[in-house]
Amino acid sequence: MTVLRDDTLDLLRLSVLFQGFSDEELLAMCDDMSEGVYRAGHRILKQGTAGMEFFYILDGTAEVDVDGELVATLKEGDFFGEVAALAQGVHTASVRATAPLRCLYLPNGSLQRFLLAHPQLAVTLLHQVVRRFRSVVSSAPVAAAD
Amino acid sequence: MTVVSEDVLAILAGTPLFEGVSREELEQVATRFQERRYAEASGVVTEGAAGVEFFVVLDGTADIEAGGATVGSLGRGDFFGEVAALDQGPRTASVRATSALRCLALPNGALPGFLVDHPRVAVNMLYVSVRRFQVAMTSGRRTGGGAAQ
Repeated sequence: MTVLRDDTLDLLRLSVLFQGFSDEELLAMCDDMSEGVYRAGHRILKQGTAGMEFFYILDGTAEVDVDGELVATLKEGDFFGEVAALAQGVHTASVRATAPLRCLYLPNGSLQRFLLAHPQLAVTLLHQVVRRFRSVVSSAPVAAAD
Repeated sequence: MTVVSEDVLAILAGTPLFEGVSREELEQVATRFQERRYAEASGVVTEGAAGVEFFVVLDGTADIEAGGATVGSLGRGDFFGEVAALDQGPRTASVRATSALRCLALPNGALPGFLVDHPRVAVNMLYVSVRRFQVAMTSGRRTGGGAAQ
């Protein structure tokens, strides 16, 4: 059981990823998640290492690097860690906080169980994963998120 | 209203994409698709072209080609076309039948709504999509910066 900060529920109510969740569902979800704060410069995930945690950004910014090359920036409402969490492989990218970064995270392996309990979440995740897929296989600009 | 044949339901029930979907829901699912047949060597979708249909292979085999190279192959129960079907962009790869190919096709633009109606299918599709992303990231297929978020 996580001790939630006062504004966590407010932030989740505004999130695209958890749209359609009732307050009761959001609170139940938070029981499965932990909240963490990382200082600017902290590397949260390292490319090539194992790990199955899934992160949702409540506040702050982060950079995504692949082979030392900046490939994306993340901000509140974005998520990361889904590839290793679902495909059970190593992290395909590194993620480093570029400002104090506050995240909710699901511990190792629990994203799979979590998705079965909240399958509507998979619809939003799937759209994002497809967008990321296109961005890595195509050198053409990717359409903005709708 | 399409009449869904037993063999189609049996094939769908055995695919990872429809794992955990009840028989009743599967019957509803199948009515949303149309059956298509392709001759060996014919192209089903073309890299760079527009098109937002989504396909599930019932019988036969196909190759996935991108940038002139074969990057994967498909067989019974596999799906393709989901990237363009979800983001409405051009096809990220071509698919060519390597035998007589029988598919189910979800008509243009229907996949996003279909997944909302059948979220368990979205969960199953997510697993495959994440693996495809992982392969693209580690196989040298990565060409783009991936900077757009």
